[in-house]
Amino acid sequence: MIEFQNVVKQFPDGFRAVNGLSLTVHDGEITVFIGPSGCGKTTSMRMVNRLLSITEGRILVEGRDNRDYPAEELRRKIGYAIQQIGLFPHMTVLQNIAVVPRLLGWEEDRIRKRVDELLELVGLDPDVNRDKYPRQLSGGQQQRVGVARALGADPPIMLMDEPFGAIDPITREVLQDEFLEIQKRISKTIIFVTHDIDEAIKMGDRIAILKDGSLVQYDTPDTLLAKPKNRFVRDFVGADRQLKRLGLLRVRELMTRDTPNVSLRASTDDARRAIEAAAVKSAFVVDEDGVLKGWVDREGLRENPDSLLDAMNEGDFREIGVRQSATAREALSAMVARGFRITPVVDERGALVGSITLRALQELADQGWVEGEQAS
Amino acid sequence: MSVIPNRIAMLGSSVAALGFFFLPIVALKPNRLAAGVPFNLLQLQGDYRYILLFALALVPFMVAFRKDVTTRGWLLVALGNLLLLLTLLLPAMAATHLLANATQYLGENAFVRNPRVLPTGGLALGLAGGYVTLFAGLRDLERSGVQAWIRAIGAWAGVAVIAVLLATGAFNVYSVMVEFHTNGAALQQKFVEHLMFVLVSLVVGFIVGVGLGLWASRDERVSNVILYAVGIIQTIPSLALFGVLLVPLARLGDAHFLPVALFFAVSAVLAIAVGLGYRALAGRLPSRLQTASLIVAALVAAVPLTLFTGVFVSFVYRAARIGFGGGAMSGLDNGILALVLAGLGLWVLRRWVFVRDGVVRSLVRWAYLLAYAATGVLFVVLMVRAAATDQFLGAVPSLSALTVRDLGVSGIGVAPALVALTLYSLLPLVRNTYAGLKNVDNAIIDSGRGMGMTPAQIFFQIELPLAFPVIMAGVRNAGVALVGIGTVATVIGAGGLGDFVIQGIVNTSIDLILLGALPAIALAMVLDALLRFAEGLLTSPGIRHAQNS
Ligand SMILES: Nc1ncnc2c1ncn2[C@@H]1O[C@H](COP(=O)(O)OP(=O)(O)OP(=O)(O)O)[C@@H](O)[C@H]1O
Ligand SMILES: [Mg+2]
Repeated sequence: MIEFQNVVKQFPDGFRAVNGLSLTVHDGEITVFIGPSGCGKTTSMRMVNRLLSITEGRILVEGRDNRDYPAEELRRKIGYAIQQIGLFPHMTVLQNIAVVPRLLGWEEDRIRKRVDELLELVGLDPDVNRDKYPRQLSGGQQQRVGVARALGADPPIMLMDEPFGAIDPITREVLQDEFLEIQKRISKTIIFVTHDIDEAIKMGDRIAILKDGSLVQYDTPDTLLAKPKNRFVRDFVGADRQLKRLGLLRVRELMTRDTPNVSLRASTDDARRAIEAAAVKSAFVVDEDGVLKGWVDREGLRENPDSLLDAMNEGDFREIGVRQSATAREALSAMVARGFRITPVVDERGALVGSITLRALQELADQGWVEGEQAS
Repeated sequence: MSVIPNRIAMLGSSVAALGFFFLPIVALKPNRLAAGVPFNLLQLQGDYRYILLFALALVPFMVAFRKDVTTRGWLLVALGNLLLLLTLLLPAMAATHLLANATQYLGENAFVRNPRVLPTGGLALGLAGGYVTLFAGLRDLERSGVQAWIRAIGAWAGVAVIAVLLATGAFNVYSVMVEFHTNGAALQQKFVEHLMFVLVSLVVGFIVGVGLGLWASRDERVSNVILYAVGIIQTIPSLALFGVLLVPLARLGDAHFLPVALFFAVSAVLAIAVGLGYRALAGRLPSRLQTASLIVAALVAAVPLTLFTGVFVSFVYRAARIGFGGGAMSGLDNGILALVLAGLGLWVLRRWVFVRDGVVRSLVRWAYLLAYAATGVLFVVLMVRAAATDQFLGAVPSLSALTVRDLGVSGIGVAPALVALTLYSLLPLVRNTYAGLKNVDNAIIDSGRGMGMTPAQIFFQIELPLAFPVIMAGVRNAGVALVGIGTVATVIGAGGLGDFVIQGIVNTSIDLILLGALPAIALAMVLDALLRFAEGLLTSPGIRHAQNS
């Protein structure tokens, strides 16, 4: 746990970059610091491992004032990754990742094992990459090594200052996803600085919005999007915040499980009955394994009353369905693109597990919108 | 990728060919002093070989247009080496003929005594052209990624063959070699002297220069003062610097040791006091005064520092000369030296030999320790041996009678030369250390700090290795420059290879000048190559390429 208590940072030139910041970073969570450029994100973060001194107030790290630790000892138990990566160009990947373990005096064999483990964790083949030098790696690979290095001695706490900042958008998304996967396993207490609101919403368990060195709002992404505290936050999260909120919800949590469906082998009568029973316009067609094969509607049944195979619209589950792990935002965008009012939800195999309607999504968004307006 | 022609090779080829065509390649001299009769390459009596040499000079020009960089590189390296070798060898062969018929070529009236063949412009340009061609080839090879050690073989093959031929006497007809044979013993002594003062002043200059560079890189305000000061030194002509040092060093030599030591101690303490005072007051002083007080501190510190450096350099030089000068090295010396070298070798190789096995690892560690100890022992042995001779402090009855001159400091001779050379070595060393350290990316240092490295760890494990190639470039610059400037030291009686040059100028004997100059050039080249080699070994492969230009 990291606790900021009325923290103030005044630089020697008199400028107050952080002005009475109080907040708690909970164990095992990613807390994102976000705000306009120059709002004091980096400054706040660097006071945690005492790369900057605290002018007033205090920061508790695991319950202890961080000034009670010897500075080096404090820093060795806090992982540190920055936008410029800062890999040591004269050291191999192994040596880079081994820096903190070596400082802590680990045995050489343990270090090597740890390095291999970390390389695997960040998705780099140890045998290929261990002895490379940073200049032999791509930007994305360097960034992974930077993260691996920050994790070197398995620190309970990590500080990450725009760690994926200098990378192309596609690689950044990949790294974000991978890092979230990693975090699921390692559950570190993380302060993550960014100025990209989408990254903040995706990565953060909680988001702290800073402005001119002060905390404006500190909430979970969903609350932040649903109930922005004031105009500044509302502008900052963007006019499409309802859409962004949908990005936080998984289809799995929103879908209707008993959705009308018929087997490929069924007769057109069966299909018609299923549709009428559910009082809907169409039903999904699945094969004997439950895999989605297409859909059939009343109109199709009317035109081809004899054969279900002729009456149905065939389609690959990848084309017409959405995964249950997709976000509501992705489902919405798929529906808009395909012109569906309802879309089937499938699992990894393509088996039909439920469906989700455009109206359900709309209602969800409306609800948030209203609440958000009332709150401000 | 389109390959551009190798312009450097074209240049080398042109230089050699034009030299061969327009300039005399050798001159036949009836004796040491008289002017000679010049001969062009194509005039040389003999056979087609001389025409072939001329033709050979033209080949690199055509090779330069080849598209395949690797092949082109190897061809150019081969051609360059061949040019170097043949430019020396073929005229030497012809010279035998010239000498045999000296009277015929020189005419009846010449006073023929000890006739000799003087290499002249054509030969010099031939060598230059060969060297440039070789260099051009090496660049191609580097570009196509040929490994450094293979390139090194290519670079030194011709020189090695020439050295062997030199030893077998193939070039004895050249006048420089004639001088060499008459002055052989003296040359060896002068060469050692020269080497000694280059090395001693380089080592001391390194200690002082890297220290100053480090200080400058840590404190922006100091850096201006330091860089300016060492820059000024560089602008003083070497002769003037010797002259300036003459009087103070003579006075210093007269002084007794104890008061000088006392003065040194007092001013050192004073300097530290001023420095600490500045520290305490820093921030509270107005900024104009800050700079001023800093300069005062630097000046106060400079006096004892210069003094100490002067005495120290002279003392080390003297001790080393006397310690090593006792003739043949004993078995003990050799044993110790071998240990030192083995330790050094291990240290250099440790990057490649990753030792996992615990036993071997601890053996290696013991070997280090042994080598360190051996280094210490060697130093002590040298000092004790030097002190035991009566050349060294032996005649001094007591400590209070000890003068600074007894430590090797005097107005003329080696002391001012060493001090001047040390001062000259400072600029490249300070500048490069400063630049090297300043150029280390802040983000890299920041991550080091953020990971919990101590300032010392950051310096030794990050900043120093990263600045190392730049610092080493400064060492090379300084070393090569010192070999050259060292030849001037002869004017204050310091000895060295400059002795021959001066003699040659006085006697208008080009041969003698060359006798001094050629070993100096060779020394500079070898020193540069050795330092480059060491730099290559000790620089991490991770940064080797970025710094290579
Ligand atoms: N050493 C310093 N001296 C004086 N002012 C400073 C110093 N370092 C930072 N500042 C100021 O403090 C403010 C906050 O800086 P900080 O680096 O924390 O911003 P940030 O929120 O990380 O911005 P960005 O998104 O651009 O990285 C800025 O206005 C900056 O100019
Ligand atoms: Mg920042």
